[in-house]
Amino acid sequence: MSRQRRSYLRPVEVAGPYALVALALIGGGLAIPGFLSLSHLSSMSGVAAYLGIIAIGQTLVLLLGGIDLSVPYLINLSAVLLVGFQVANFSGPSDFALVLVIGLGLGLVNGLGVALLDISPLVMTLGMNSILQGIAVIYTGGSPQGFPPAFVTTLATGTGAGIPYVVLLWVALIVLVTLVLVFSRFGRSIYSVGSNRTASALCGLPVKRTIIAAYAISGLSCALGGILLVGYQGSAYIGMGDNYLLPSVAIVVIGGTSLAGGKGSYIQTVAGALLITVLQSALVTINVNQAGQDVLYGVVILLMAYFNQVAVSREGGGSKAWLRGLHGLGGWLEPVGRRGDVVAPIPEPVREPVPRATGE
Amino acid sequence: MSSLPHVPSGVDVSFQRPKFIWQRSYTAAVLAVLLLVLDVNQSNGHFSTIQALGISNEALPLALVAVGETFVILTNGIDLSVGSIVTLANVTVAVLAGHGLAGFGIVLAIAMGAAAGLVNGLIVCYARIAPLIATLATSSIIVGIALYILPYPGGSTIPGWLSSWTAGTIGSIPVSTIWLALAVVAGWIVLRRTKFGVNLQALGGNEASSWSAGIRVMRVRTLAYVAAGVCSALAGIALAGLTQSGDPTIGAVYLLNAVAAVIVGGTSLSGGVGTIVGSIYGAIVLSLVASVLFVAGLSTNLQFIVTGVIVIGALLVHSLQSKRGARIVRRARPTSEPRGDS
Repeated sequence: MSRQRRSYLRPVEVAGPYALVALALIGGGLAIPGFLSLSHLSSMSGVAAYLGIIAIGQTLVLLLGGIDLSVPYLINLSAVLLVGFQVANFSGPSDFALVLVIGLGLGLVNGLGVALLDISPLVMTLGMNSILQGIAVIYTGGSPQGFPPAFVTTLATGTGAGIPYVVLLWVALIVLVTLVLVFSRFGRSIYSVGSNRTASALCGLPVKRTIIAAYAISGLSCALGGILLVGYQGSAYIGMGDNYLLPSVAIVVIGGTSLAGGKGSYIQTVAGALLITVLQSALVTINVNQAGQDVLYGVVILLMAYFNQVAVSREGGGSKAWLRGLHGLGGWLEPVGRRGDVVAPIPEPVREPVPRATGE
Repeated sequence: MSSLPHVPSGVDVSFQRPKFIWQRSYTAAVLAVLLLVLDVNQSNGHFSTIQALGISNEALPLALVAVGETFVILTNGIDLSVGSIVTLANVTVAVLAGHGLAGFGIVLAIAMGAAAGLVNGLIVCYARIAPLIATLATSSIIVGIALYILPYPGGSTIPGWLSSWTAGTIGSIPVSTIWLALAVVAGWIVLRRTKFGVNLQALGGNEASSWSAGIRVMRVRTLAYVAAGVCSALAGIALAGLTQSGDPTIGAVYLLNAVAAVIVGGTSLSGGVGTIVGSIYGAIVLSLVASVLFVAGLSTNLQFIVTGVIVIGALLVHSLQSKRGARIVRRARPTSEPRGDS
């Protein structure tokens, strides 16, 4: 069976998560009156937009096989800085730009640590998160004062022709990120480096520059997310980004992007954000409590990760592959190894005495 | 253990123990001692029982979670559900203690921790989902269950014996210090003196080779997650005794801090290299930071920055050290002569 040429967007893999989104919407529409009303749809897409914008950077970083754990305090610090600058009587638009630049710079530091100092992404971004938390707490003294500039509030909460501005911004970003990932040299080197770093380096790709740029973009998207979030909530507080770390990873995975890198796309992440938002909205509407939501959230992540994993291992084709994914359950009982793996017989060690040296 | 198996007679298998090797956990130990000395020095030079109590009570839950996380990180995995298991155990003990069943609550909490670890292990091994995602998902499920058991923080009647077994003192020695020492010994025995521990290190070092050598890779890996679950449950129980209450948000802090403690303690994220005692040193270091800053008269808000710098710095030191070690081995190799010729 001839293998298909690797394309950056695989129609089936992109369509899968969207089919689930459609299914969730139809199910919600049948069960809950008014679930598919325009106002509810637009509010849901607004909620998904915050998550989606924050996850832009996480998608790029995961495509590289890394991870960014500094998302919570990148968001929080940006939010805190924006309102802090307002108190210090800076002008609105220049604050906005300055916070974005700071986010970019902090992401750049992450990238430099990962690419140049060879620190594991997990450790680098974990440490960075702690450092940023310290900066945010010290900058505000624990209780941030001030309000976001008016145009940020408008951007975050306003609507044009029934569509929230955030959603319009998100759509623009979706188009931009997808075009960059599929057509630009940078986007293609992300896929290449994520698939095989050594081979990419041997091919002459700027591996380190690609990694640094991806983390910098992650800083930028988190800064934008933080700005929008503080615009939406009207004030900043310490800990406002904490609820975005795990979802930012989860929606990327739900969309089908592989944690090992090199496989996936931002469009799939968008589907992940939509799916999670629609499900959560439906659960809240039918009065499922927080406990039930958490359990269901976990189950959805597990199922999606499982089916994506099966899709990866199926790449030779074949039916009933989703069953074969439950790999070697009998392995627990077998002496060694996994079912299906080829076992080379281990030769018995030679026990013959070695002839002594002739000198003795 | 007098002779090694399968070694032909006539081959000299005796080797000299290297004189002194700076192990990765020593870095954390030095850091812990340094912070302890600073702490004591700043508070007028005398070390009271109260102070020791504060420090080891602070370090105990984190150290227990870090010990559990070490097992998983040694297999080249990561367990993001430890914080949720801490919460689940804490909440279970608190609720059952409210019904006068604290003893049963402790047993049930440990069983739930083991079960959660088993589920994690089975998902990672048999459904082949990346550990990060699998445990992220189960973490959410476990928190959901904990929230179902106790939806809001509640101080219930934790019996006196449980708090004196965690927060009390024997003579002038805090009980939690004794637990820490026990954790060091137990961790060392499990990792270095049991078949499971040796297999675990082999598995982390090279999975394919250890599989070829007949190690039941799947089983060992699953058991590592079970160990993490049990350790986290113990931490949750200890927290119930220390805080005298149950709180469905108590575990969230321990997740990233436990990973940080393991890293500071010198365990490699790529698996196979690491020690339990290192992780305990790491936990002590991280829980001392705030205390040292406080007695030094600095803002405790600095603790986050200091912690971040310690984590990144410790990893840099460890990686420089292993690069240097590799260079020494490379340099030594061409000159080493086969033994027994002269």
